Amino acid sequence: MKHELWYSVVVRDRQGKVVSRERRRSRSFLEAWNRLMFTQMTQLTGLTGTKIKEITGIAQYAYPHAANFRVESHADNGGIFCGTGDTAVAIDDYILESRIEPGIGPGQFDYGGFSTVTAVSLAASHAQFGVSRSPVNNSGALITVREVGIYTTFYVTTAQHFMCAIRDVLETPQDVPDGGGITVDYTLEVVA
Amino acid sequence: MNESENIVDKEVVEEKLEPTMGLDYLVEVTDKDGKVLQSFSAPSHSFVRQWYDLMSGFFDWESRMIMDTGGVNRNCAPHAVGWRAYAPAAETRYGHRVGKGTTAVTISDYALESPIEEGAGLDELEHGAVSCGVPAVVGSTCSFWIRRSMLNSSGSTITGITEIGIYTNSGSAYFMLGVRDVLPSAVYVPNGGAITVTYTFKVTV
Repeated sequence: MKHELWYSVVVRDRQGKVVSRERRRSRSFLEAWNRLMFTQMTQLTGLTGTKIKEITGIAQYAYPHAANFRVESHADNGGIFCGTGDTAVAIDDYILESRIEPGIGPGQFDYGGFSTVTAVSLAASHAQFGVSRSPVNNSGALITVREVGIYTTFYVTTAQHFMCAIRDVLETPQDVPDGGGITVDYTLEVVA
Repeated sequence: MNESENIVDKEVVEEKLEPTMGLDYLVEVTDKDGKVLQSFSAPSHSFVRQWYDLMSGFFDWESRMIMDTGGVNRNCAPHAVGWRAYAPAAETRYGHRVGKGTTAVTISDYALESPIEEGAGLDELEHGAVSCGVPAVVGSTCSFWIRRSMLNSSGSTITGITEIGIYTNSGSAYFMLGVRDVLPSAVYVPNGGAITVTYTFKVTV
């Protein structure tokens, strides 16, 4: 079996016409992902546990929590985000290199609320589920997307924090015209 | 003009790449003096469906119907103990298990085919506490391991161990199979000896 992560990006113009798309295998679960999985599997905390570097760059001891790994709790800090950075992914990346901030000002995307998550679908030889988000460019000018990723929650005792779990640099930079949008889908799957 | 002619369409399939999320196992069998009798390791490819059910539920903080190790679908809300595998001694609802099943792994497996039960009776193993190594980064990989030893105090050799796996919490009071592997060959554990199973979870960029 293969445990895989795929991403796809689809760019549309203001009329909704598809102008570009890319689908590619992601290789970019980051260190934070494994540290949070360790926390859940072992239930260890504090000095016996592990620290996760949150998106502010501060490392915090993670705690087991029902809302760890959540992607839809905070529209501005959780879920799928896009960026303009193109530095190759490193295992210790803790943030998109240059995130396109939420908003409708210059260089900003209207992320349109939370990311959506599908339940697992099962076929004969594989199981999969997806995470999706469709930011819209209402900034007044073209924005070029070069990186995408997923921010999730993690908890320090009972306080919510955010980490970058997945980051990918696009094979081809995607120009999102003013009035257009980009749909980013991540698919996690296991294939027999 | 066909609309598709305007689309910059790129699909890159890199079949030769290693998985970005990997799982390896190491199985060691020792005799009563701690001498290693059998040892082998291999990549595990056998996350099963429940692992993804739970992940999907955590991602959007919603309940999922997840099949438990008894084959019953359970309504599982995300819970702080989700994925818990760090079991104390003698606990078999979660943590590593071994068994005698030989059927190839399928995505829909929900339990070991023939798990060996806890105890010191015939064909039983005494399950030790799960131990772990904290995540560490080496090069472009971050990994951690979790390990469990199971002691044979049954009075006779236990033969035909052919499957290993990890049970975890799927909810506060439910338990699921997360990983199952069928070994390339059967192993035996002499009386007084032990089988130790180590799984290493890794992500690589």
